[in-house]
Order: sequence, then C-alpha cells, then structure tokens
Amino acid sequence: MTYEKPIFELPKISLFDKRIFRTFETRKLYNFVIIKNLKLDEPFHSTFVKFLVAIEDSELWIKSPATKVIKINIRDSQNSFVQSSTFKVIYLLDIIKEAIFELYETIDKSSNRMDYRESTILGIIILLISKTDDIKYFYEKNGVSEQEALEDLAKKLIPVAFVGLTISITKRDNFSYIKQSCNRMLDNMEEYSFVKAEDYIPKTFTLENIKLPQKILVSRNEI
Amino acid sequence: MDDIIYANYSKLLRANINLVCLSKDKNVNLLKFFEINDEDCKKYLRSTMIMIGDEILTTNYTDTTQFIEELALFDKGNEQNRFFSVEQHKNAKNLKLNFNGIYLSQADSKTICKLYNQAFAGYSLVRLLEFEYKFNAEDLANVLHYNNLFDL
Repeated sequence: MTYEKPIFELPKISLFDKRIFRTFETRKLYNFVIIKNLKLDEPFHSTFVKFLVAIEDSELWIKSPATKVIKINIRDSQNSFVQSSTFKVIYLLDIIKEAIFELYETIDKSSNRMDYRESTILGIIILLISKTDDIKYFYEKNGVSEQEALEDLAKKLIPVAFVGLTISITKRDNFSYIKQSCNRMLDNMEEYSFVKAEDYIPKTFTLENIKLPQKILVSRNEI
Repeated sequence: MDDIIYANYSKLLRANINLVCLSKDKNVNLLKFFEINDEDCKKYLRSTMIMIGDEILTTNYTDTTQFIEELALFDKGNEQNRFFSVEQHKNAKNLKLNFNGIYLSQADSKTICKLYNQAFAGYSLVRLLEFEYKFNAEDLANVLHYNNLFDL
C-alpha cells in the first residue's frame, strides 16, 4: 500500500511540544481546548499552558466536603509523639479537568466577542484555584471576601487583555450556574488521603517562574 | 514478610481495621489492625490502637497496654501517668483524660478494661508481639481511608 499525499495541504500551526506536560490528563486538556477548538491566539495559548504546568507542579488540593478530620499521634524516630491531622482531599488538576470538559458546552455562545470563551475558561480556573485550602487560608486571614479574592487572583495571574472581561463574567448570572455545578462536582470526585503535619506551610501559586520552550510548526494533517 | 502491607493500593486491600466500641458515652474505641492472608485463610493481629472521639491516641501495642493499665489502676495511679490524672470531682475520685479533659468514673474504666480483654479472645498474640507493624503517618492515613473511617 502506497502512501498518498492528501490533495489539500492544510496550513501549519504552531504548538508547544506536548512533552512539557507530565500527565496524560493535561495533554488531553491541551488537545481539547487548544487544538480541537483552535484557540491558537497568543496571549491565551501560552497562559493556558502555563496554568496547566503550574497546577501540575504545585499539587494544590481542596478538602473534601464529606470528610472527618482525624488527628493521629505517632512516635517518630526519636521516640517522641508527633501529632498530625489526616483527612480526604481532592486534587485541583482532577477537578479542573472535569469542570472544563463538563462546562464547555454551557458557556454562553450568544456573545459577539471573540475572547468570551477564553475568558470564561480562565474564570473557571481562577474560581477553582480560589477554592483550594492554601489560597483560601491566605485570603481568610486577611479578611477578604470571595469575590474580592477572585478579582485579586485575576489581576495577579491573567494577562492584562483578559482581566476586565474575566472579572465582569464572574459577576454575571451564567457564572453562578458554573459555581453551583463546580460545588456539585466536588461531591463525586475521586478522593485521596492526606496528612497535614503540624508545621505545614501553606503553598502559594504563581506563574512567574515557569519558562516555556519555543513552539514547533506542525502540519494539521499530522494531528 | 512486611511487604504484605506496604502502601500499595492493591495490597492494602488485604489489610483491614476492625473497630470495637469500648464506651459509647465517652466515645472510646479500640482499632484492631489485621493482616489477611488469603492463601491459608487466616488473619493475623498486627497492631492495636485507641481512638477517642476523632483522635487516635496510641498507635502501637505497648502504648495501648499502658493506657489500659492506667485505667485499671484507677486512683492508685500517680503523676507518672501519661494519659490520665486522678482528680477529686464531687466527693468522688475520677480519672481525667489529659488531652481533652473528659472525666471517667470507676464504672467506665471497668467496662473499658472488660471489653478490651474480651476483644482479644480467639486471637494469637505471637504475631502481634514479634512482628508488630510500625506505622508512619501516610500509611495509617491510607489504611483509614480504605476502611471508610473518614466518612461522616
């Protein structure tokens, strides 16, 4: 059987090498959002990839809504008691994957603006990051409300072109539906056990340290 | 021998925890940690723990035994006690749990000791004394999770 060259040569597009992702799930998300739906424009493309890489690295978690907290006292190697608390958690990457696949259809398509979908996806990611315990702890300590925390995170993490639209989207009626369904999703996610030692230091989340490689030109026939 | 219970999901299913309630009112429980051997259809006791409310106080057999002995001594115990202190409460001597301040009467302590002794009936202590399983925090959290002890 001979290989036949396709009659129409589709245009080449520039993509990131998928080897920068560590897990299969992030590759799948990249395929779905960027390649299949052709969101190749620049400020969004690299920010989305940066978010995925940072979330993989940071391993942030959300405390499961249905869990007991059990304290345990265990003797360490010096034979003295060390106390730590254990409970069930849901990892951020799992819930973000679920939320984007589930909610992509419900995003409002009536708007004329081209960057509406991008901003909603960034809004979902920011919303879920603000729900993680380490970030929530930081904002609760300073007495910041939920909506203010969302806006503050958006200003820190998202490129300037998207900030205004993302914040206005988070105030709309459609987004409250997204918030509710995210809460409902938390009940059915896979849970893992987690040990929180007494000297646990809350993590922070930034995109500044992440450096991406150059993009590669790929023919669309090969994808 | 210990690789039976290493923190591997498929193998952890062969180790489980039984919960024996020693006192309903004061919420004192005994956790018995078993290794289950499918090949010769036997289960072996590998560790014992005391859980009060939502806190696991002791995670090995030595500490658990000391907890029970301090209860059995009751008002003969002194300041060397690790878990209890003897206190006068309404003209009667009581034991006070050091970590949460709950008072135990003499009847409570007798009930707990009696049920504790009955909980070991039928099990060999050889495996427990010679090959006791030493937990670290992650292992214990995994075992609690797979036995649904985190459920509300």
